[in-house]
Amino acid sequence: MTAAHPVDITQLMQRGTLWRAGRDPARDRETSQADVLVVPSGFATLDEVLGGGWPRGDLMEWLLDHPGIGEIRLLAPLMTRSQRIVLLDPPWIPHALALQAAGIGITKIHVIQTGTTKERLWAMEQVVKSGCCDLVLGWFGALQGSWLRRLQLAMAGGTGVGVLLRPASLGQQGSAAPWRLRLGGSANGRLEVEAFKRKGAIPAKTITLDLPTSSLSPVNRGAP
Amino acid sequence: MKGLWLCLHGPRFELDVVALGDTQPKALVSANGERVQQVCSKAQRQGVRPGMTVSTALSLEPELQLFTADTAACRQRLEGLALWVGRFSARVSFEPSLAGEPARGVVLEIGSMLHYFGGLAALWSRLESELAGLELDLVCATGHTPLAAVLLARAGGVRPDVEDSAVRGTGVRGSGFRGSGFRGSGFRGNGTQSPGADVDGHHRRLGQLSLSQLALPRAQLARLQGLGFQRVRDLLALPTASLASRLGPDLTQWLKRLTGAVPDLLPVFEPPPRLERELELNHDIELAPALLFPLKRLLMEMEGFLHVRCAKALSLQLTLYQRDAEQHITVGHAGGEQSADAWLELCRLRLERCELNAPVRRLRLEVSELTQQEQPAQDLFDTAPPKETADALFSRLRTRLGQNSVMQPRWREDHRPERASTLERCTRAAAQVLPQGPRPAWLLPTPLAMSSAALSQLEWLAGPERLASGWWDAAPARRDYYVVRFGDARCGWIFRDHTGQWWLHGWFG
Repeated sequence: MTAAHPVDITQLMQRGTLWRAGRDPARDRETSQADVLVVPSGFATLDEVLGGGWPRGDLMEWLLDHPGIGEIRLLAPLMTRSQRIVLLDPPWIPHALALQAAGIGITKIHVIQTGTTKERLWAMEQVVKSGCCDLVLGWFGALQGSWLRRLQLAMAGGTGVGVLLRPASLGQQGSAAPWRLRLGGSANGRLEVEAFKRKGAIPAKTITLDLPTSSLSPVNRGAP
Repeated sequence: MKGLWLCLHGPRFELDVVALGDTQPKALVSANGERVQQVCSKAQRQGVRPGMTVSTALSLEPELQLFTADTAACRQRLEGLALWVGRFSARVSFEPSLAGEPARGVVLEIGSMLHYFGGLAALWSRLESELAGLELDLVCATGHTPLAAVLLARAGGVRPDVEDSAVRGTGVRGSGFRGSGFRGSGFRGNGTQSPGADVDGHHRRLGQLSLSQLALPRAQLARLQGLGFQRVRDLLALPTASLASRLGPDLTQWLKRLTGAVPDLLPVFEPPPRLERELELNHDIELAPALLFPLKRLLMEMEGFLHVRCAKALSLQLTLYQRDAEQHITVGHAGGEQSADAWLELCRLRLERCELNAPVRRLRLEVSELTQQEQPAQDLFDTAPPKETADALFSRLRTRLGQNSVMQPRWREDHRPERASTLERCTRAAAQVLPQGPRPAWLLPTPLAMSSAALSQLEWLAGPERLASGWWDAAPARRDYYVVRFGDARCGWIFRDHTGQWWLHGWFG
C-alpha cells in the first residue's frame, strides 16, 4: 500500500491535478532556459511573485481598475532596456517629452492604431509572431476565448514580453493567458499587484509596490 | 576552358506562352494554319505529332485547340525568364538560335556560382523547386560549353524517354521539369567537387546525341549521314585537321565551340535600367485577390532583376488595366525588400482591401524606387534571431491597416505639451530642453474640461507650474499646472487656464 503512493503522486502531477507550489530553480536551470524565460522587472518583490521576472514568450493579462493607474511606471525599467516597444491602441497619447526625460528613448516606441477589435487582434498576432519586438502592450476589452488562445500560441516560443491590458471587470471570466495580474492603486500612491493566475504555481498574495521616483512620478518624494 | 553552363529550354515555348493554364489539349499551328508545330503532352497521347497537317490532327483529337505564335509575347516572356534566372547567375544569355529557329530558352553560366549555392546538387534542387512556380514547361541541362548545354537541353526535349528516367521520381508535377540526366551519370555534387569533373559525363552524353538532334543545316546533315556518321561521337573521334579539309571549316569551328576548344561568346543579356513588366491576362479578373496568381510571376521576375543589381525595392506600382479605365495601386515596404514571397504577401494584404471598378484585362508592374541591399546587422550573442525585421512587420501592418496606423511619438520645440509631443509617421529629431518637473506618461488627445464639483474631491500633490507660451500665434496658452490624485487612486495632470476653467490634460500611468 505504502509502496504505491509515490507512483500515484507522479501520475497526479502528470495529469495536472497536483502541482508544485514553487518553481524549482534547479529544474528550471536544467532546461537551460531559466535566464531566457524571464526578464527582471526591477522590483524584487514582484520578481519573487513572477518566478524571476516578467515571463517571456507567455501571454500576460493585466486587469486594471482604471487605465493610467501606474502601468507605465511599473514597466519603465523594462522599457528602458527594451530595443523596440509596440503600443497597440493605447487609450491616450504617449507623452514623448516625459518618456524621453525618464530615460525611455522614444524612437523605439511604435504606436499602432487600428479601427476594429478584429484588426487589433490581427495586428497583435502579427507583432507577437514577428519576434522583433521586446515588449508589446495591447489594450483590449472583451475578447473571445479562442482569440486569447491564439495570441498565447503566437507568443509561445518567442522571447518578447506581451501584455494584454483589460478592464478589471473581466477578471471573473476565464482566460487562456498563463499569467493574470490585477493592478490597483492604493491610497498612498502605491501600486497593488495581485497575481491571481500563475503558470505552474498557486495564486500569489497581493503585494504592494513602491513605484520608483522618476520624472514620470506625480511627485518627487525627496522634494519638500 | 573550364566552366559550366546551364540551359533552360522550353520545347513548347510558343505554345506555353499563348495557351497558359488551359487544360484542354492544345497545339501550335504555323502562321498559314496548315501544319502543327508544337503539341502539348495531352494531345501527344492522342497521337498528334508536330509536322502533321491540321486536318489530320483534328481527326485524331477533335477537342484540340489551335493557337498561332505571338512573337511579341514570346520575346517578352523570354526576357521575363532571363530576368527571373538572375537569381542564379549574373551571366545570362538568350539561347543561340539554331537552324533558323527562334530562341526558346536561356543559357546561364553557373560554374562560378557553384560555391555560392553549395554545389551543383544544391543549385539543381533549388532550381527544381523554383521552376515549379513558373508555369513553363522547361527542360534543363548542364554542359561544359553553352552550345553543349543548349544541345543537351534540346535533346532532352526531343527524347524524353531516355532522359526522363533519372528525374521522374522527384515528384515535380505538371511543370514538366526534366533533368539532363546528370544524376544518372554518377555526378554527386558535394560542394567541393569542381565542375570540370563532370566534363567526361557531358562528353559522353554529347557523343550519344544523333546528328539529327544537332540542328545542323539540312545539306550538311545529309552529307554527314551519307558518309555514315550517326552520332556526335563518330565526328568527335576523328582528327580535326582531316575533318576540316574534307567537310569545310564551318563544321570544325562548330565542333570546337561544342567541345570548348574555342570560347563561345554569347551576347550577355542586360537587364533594363528600370523594371516595367506587363502581363496580358487570359481572362478578365473581377476579384482583386484573384490577381495574385498572375502577379506572382511578375514578382518572381522582379526578384531576379533585383538580385542581379543587389538591390531591394522600396515600393511597387501596380497598374490594373480595365476596358476603359485603369486603376493604380502602390505597395510600399519601409526598409525595402527583394524576395517575391514577401512582396506577394504585402500585395495580398493590399489587394484584399481593394475594390475593382471593372474586370481587369492587363496587369503592369513597375519598380521605381530601389535601395541597396545590405546584410542586416546581427548580434553576435543573440540567441534567438527575430523571425523577421521590424521593417517587414510595420510594412505589413501599414499595408493592411492604412498608412497612418503605425506612428511614433515625436517632439518638437514648443512649451505647450499638446504641440511639443505628437504622434507622427516619419522620424524627425529635434533638440528640446527636457522638462524638470513631473510629467505624465499619458497625454489626452484634447484636454478634458473639469467641473468644479470634481475639484473638491482631489488630493493636491504638486503645483502650480506656470506655462505661458504661444502668445505669438493662434493658440496662446497661459496655464497653471497641478498634479492631483483622484478618488480612484489615479494621479492626473490638470491645469487652470486664464479664464479660470479647469482641464484634465494627462495621466501619470
